[in-house]
Amino acid sequence: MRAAALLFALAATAPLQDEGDPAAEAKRLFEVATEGSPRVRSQASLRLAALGETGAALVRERLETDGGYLSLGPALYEALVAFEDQRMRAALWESLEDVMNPWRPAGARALAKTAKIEEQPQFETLLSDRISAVRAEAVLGVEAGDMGRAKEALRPRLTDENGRVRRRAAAALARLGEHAALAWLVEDLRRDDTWLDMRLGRIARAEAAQALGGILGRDAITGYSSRSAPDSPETAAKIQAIEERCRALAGEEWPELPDIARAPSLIEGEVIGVELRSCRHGELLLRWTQDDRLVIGEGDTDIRQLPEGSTAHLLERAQAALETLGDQRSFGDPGCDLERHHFRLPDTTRAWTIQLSKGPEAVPDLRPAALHPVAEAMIRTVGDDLRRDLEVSLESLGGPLPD
Amino acid sequence: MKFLLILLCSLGASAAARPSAPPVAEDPVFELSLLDLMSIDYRPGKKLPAWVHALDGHRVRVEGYMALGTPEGLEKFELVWDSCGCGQSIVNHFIEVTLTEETTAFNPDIIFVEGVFTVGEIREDGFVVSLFRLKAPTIQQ
Repeated sequence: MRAAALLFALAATAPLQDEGDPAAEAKRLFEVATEGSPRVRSQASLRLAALGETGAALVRERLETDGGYLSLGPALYEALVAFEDQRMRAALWESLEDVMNPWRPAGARALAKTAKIEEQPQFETLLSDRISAVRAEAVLGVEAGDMGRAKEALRPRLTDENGRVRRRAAAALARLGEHAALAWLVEDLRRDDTWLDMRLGRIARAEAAQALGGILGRDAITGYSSRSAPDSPETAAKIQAIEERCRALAGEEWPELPDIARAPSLIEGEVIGVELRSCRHGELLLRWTQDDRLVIGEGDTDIRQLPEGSTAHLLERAQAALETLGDQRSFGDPGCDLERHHFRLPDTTRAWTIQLSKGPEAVPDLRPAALHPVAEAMIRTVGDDLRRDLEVSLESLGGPLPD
Repeated sequence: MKFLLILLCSLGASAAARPSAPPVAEDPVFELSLLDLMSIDYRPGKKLPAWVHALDGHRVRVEGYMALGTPEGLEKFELVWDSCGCGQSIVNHFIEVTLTEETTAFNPDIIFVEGVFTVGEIREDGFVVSLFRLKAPTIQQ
C-alpha cells in the first residue's frame, strides 16, 4: 500500500521530460539513474518507477544480464521497491541472501520502509545479520508485522553490540507499547564517550533525542540540546525531566540496564585504534591503550590485558608509518568499505587518522606498504579468537597482507 | 526576527530535533540537526515544512561529517550525518557548505559549521541537485 502511495505521489509530482515518447524518456532516466551524478540518481530511479511498465521493462532486462542487480548501481537497486512489479521486490530480497552484495544495508532499508506483514519472518532473520546497518534497518520491518511477534524478536536487540541497533530496537518497542524500553534512549542522552577522536556519545545523544521527540512529542524535548555536555546543570535537569516523563509512561517497569547499554566510561590512555567497516564482512573496532589494554567494540564492556610492551611496539610502527606517509592521509575512492587507522602519538592531543576507502571491487594494493607493519603488529597482539576476524577484515578492505 | 523565534519555539524547538532558539536575542544562531532535515518527507516539488523555511537566510550551527571522498582544496563540500560511505546522496540528506575563508582538508571527525543557511530547490536538467545550503567562513572542530 505504501509503495502504491509512493508511486501515486511520484506520478503526480515528477515532471516528465518527454511525455510524447515514454520509451525515450525511460531510457534517459535509466541512464541518469545508473550513471548520472550521485545527487540525482535516486530521483531518476523513482521517476523511472513512476513510468510504470515502460520503466520496469528496462530494469527487468538489466536484471537478467550477467551483472544482475549489481549492474543497476546503488540508487536504482534501492528503488526496486518502488516498481509495481513483485518480481522486483523478490529480486531485492534474493539479493540480500548474497553475502557479497555491497548494498545490503540499502536493500534492507528499502524493503523495511515498505514492509509487508507477511515479510516479518524474513526481517527477523536480518535482525541477526553480521552487518549492524542491516540489523538497524530490519528493526522497522519487524515492527511493521504482528505486534506480539515483533516485541519478542526485538527485545534481544536491546543488547546488540551496536548502539544504533539498540536505539532503533528501543524506539520500536516503545512505539509498540513497551515503554520500559525508553530507558535505553534516556541512557543514551547521558552518553559522552569518545572513541579516540570520534564523539560517539554525542551521536548517540542526538539520535536518542530524535527518537524520543518522535515518541513523546516534540514538547517533551524542548530545550534539550545534544550539543551540551550531559552533566552540565541545565542539560542534566532537562534529561531528568525527560526521564521522569518516560518513567511515568513505563509505570512499575523501569528496568535495570545491561552493561552494554550503559553510557561507557572514559577509556584512559587510548593511543591506537583501527576501525574496520566492511559492507560485506561487518564491523570491527579495536583500540589499544598506553597501559597495554585492548578495547574491543564501541564501548567499554570487552577489555583485555595484553603482554607488557604490546602497545609500545605498535606505537613505534605507527610513528614509522606516519613518517613515511607524510601528509598523505586518505587513500582510495569513496565507497562502502572503510579501513581507518587512528594514531595518537605521545605528547599530542588529537589523533592522526589514515583512511582507506573503496567500493565493491577489490583493490589489492589499497593499503600503503608503510601501514603493513602496523597491521601485522595489530594481528599479533589480539587473541586467537579475534585473529582470524581481524585478518579477514583487513584483507577484505585494504588488500592482502604480505606473507 | 520575533516571528521566527515564536515559530521555532511553537514547533517545540530542540537542538537534537527542531532547531532551538538560544536565549540571546541579538544575532541569534539557531542549532539545526541534519537528522531533522533527513526526516522530512521530501519529494522534488513538494513544499518544505514551515520550520525549515523559517530558517532561510538566518544563521545556523550544524554538526555532521564531511562526505566521504571530499577532495582536498575545494570551497564546497557536502555535510552529512553519517561518516559511513554506504547509501546514496539524497538531496534532503546533506547540506551543501560553501567555505569562504578556507578550503577543504581531509577530516574524518565530526565537525561543525556555522553560517547563513539558505533553503530551496536548485535544479539542473529537471533534477534537484541542492536543497539546503550554508555559507560558513571555516570548519569548526
